[in-house]
Amino acid sequence: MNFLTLSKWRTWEPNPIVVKELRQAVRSWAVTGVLLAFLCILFLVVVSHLLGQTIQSNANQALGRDIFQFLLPILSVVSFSFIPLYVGGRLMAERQEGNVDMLYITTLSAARIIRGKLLCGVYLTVLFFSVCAPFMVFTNLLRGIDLPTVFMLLVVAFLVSILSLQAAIFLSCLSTSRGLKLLVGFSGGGVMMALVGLMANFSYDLLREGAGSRLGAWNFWGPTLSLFFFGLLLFGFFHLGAIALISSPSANRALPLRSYVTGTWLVTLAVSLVWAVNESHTGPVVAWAAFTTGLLVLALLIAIAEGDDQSVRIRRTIPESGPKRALAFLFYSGTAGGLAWTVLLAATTIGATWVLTQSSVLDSMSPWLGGGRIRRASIKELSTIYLSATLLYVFAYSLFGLVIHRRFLAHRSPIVAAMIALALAALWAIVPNLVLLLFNKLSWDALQDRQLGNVFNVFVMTNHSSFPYHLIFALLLATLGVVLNLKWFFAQRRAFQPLPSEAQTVTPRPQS
Amino acid sequence: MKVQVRNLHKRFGKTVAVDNFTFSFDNGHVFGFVGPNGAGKTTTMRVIATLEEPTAGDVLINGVSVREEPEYARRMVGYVPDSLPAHNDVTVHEYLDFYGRAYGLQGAKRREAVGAVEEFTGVTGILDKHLKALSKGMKQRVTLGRALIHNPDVLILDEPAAGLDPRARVELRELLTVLATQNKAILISSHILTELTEICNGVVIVERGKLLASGTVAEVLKMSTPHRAFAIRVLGEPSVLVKELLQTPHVVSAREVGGEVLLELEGELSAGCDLLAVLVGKGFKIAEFKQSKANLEDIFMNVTKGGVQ
Ligand SMILES: Nc1ncnc2c1ncn2[C@@H]1O[C@H](COP(=O)(O)OP(=O)(O)OP(=O)(O)O)[C@@H](O)[C@H]1O
Ligand SMILES: [Mg+2]
Repeated sequence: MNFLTLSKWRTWEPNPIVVKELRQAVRSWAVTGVLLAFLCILFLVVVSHLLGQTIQSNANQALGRDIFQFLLPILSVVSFSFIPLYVGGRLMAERQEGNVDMLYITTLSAARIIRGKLLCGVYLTVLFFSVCAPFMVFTNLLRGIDLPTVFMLLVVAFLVSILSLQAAIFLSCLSTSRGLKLLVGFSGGGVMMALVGLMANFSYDLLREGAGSRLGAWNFWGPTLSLFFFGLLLFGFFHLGAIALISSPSANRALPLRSYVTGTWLVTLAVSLVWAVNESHTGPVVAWAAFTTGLLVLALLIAIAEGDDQSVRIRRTIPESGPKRALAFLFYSGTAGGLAWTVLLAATTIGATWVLTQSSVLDSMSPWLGGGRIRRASIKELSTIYLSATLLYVFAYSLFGLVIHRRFLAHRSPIVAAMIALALAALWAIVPNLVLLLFNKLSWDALQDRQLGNVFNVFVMTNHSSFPYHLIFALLLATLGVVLNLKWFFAQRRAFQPLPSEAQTVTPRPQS
Repeated sequence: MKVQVRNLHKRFGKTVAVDNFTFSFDNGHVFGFVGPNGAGKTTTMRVIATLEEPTAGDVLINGVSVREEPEYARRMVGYVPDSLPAHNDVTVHEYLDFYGRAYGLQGAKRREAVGAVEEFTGVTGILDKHLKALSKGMKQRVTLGRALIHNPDVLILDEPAAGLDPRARVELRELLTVLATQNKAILISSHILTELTEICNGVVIVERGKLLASGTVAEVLKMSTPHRAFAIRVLGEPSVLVKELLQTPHVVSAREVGGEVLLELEGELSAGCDLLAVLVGKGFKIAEFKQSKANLEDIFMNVTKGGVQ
């Protein structure tokens, strides 16, 4: 914060969205109702435990812990699901076609809107946490629980709820059909429930052993910090993604997102290397590759939904010089550039993973970074094949999606291309099994058997000797996709030119 | 020109909602935007308000493209949509205050702007009412206030008078007249043409996604009806006059309607004066000689039916 911003504190105004949303939240029956119900349930839990205690003859040595173990999941359910749903739902309604509030034609920037929504959710989360706090402090007066553990768990729960809040905001900014929204909603709900379960499990472990004893150990802080770090990166991705989604289509929406992912990619690689050397294990590198693959799959879907048109506004900023222009091509909005960027990143990721897990590269780096001899991850070289097959399949589906969109649905929005890609993946997974089901041949074994072309099969297949087949088949599919798209791709690359100078004056950029 | 719509196209799937619209209007103009249901009025207005991306073509507002620089263009546009907000958790004042904030007005400046708009639209008596509890006319005022809060140069109103009672209509018309004198460029769509006639000095006529005519009322009038219409009341037998008129050069048609003679004349207004002189010279006792003023309704009927019959 520099002096100028400091001197402006007197005229500082809160984010308008926060003011509006909080006003409405306070008056909303949903928030007030859930808050009251929440309070009642907390109260009932505590009272019933205390009553149960009075009938028992021997004193429960861990009553505080028992109560806490009830309170935390209740808090998690509310803060992982209700608040994200509430904030996301409102945002989705505002984004609807017929919405009369015209929020998105005010001069509020996209970033400010998203930040406002997020802040409002954070305030609500804090509200629910602070309602819960007295009860949790109370458990501390009983036995079986220590303050650092309570604190630790609350911090974790808070961070997870902020992440799910941001994810919900991201999802509600997606402009898709109602069917897809429902699908996303349901799978999102599944993830939330899984998170609540994980949280309960984590708290169970931590409460049993107490956080205090672990606070000095690397094998506690290492994973915790790494998880936090990955969560933070994911948060950033969702945040920038949401902003890009509601920015105007003529803006260079891909640039911040792709720069961010590239940065993330480098930083996480570095972190995982340090980790691997410290742990003397290739596991962290494999985990990094898996994380990156997930991110790239998302980025790929976004890229093919971007469409080919480059607005005048973007073209005005295309650099003249060749190398700079090539770099800009990778990072600027546009499907072709996005594809090229993803391919580059994916290839580098797979290459790096292969090198780092197969050869003695890490071994030679190890003394330099102060570590010992590196052990290989148990899944070893398979991990590279897993991830390459996944990426190749997703590329293939995306490329086919693009072709189908261009040939048959060119007048529809480019988002359709991404939907076709998703549908292809789903159909390829469902239809063969449906046929098996019809012939009464569907069994658990059949599902785990080799099913070429089905990306999900890669993860459930038990017979590892079939992996090469998957890899080869995926490679063939992707190659076919590339061949079908080659002409279009080079046309796009050629068209990526700065605006001719006479066209620059069409729209004068206003001052201010 | 303040607002220039250039070769605007908008398609929804296979529906062509707007097919090559080109028109423009300037400061101080109040343009009526008329056309049958589904003609593409709302779509055009949403494009101008940067709510919708054009399929092709562009709209320039003060030279700023809504397609390329929507963030700049929207600073200069106030838009009143055809549907009204009905929150039950926001009061009128809070609603307007929020839009003041959303348009980046700060502190005293915002309070001033919100106060001025509340006064102008006449909602000072209902500031603490929830939007849901308002009557249609009041909601319309609030929405107009919302569109005015950042003092835009261009005002786009989509059927603002629909569903208003006669008094509310007159009041709305007065507000718009005041706004026009403040040198704003206003585009207003409506199905009630008589209402537009009184405030509009220009018109854009569309039908099924096609632009039929646009320009100031005089221009469109000239284009749609190349002939001037006059009504003559004469002492004596009108049929004699009709016979005489039909033999006079430049007279396109003449007929008797309810004791008056209605005629259509080629040429400028002076042709009418000349005709009057000729008739008086021939001894006709002319009691009344007036140009019948065409209103938007006539223009609309002429244009949408494909010219004069
Ligand atoms: N979001 C949309 N999706 C699909 N079609 C649309 C959409 N919006 C408008 N249309 C179609 O575009 C055409 C023009 O609609 P528009 O609402 O602009 O007409 P209008 O002139 O405002 O009509 P009205 O006088 O009834 O308000 C109609 O055929 C309509 O069905
Ligand atoms: Mg309409």
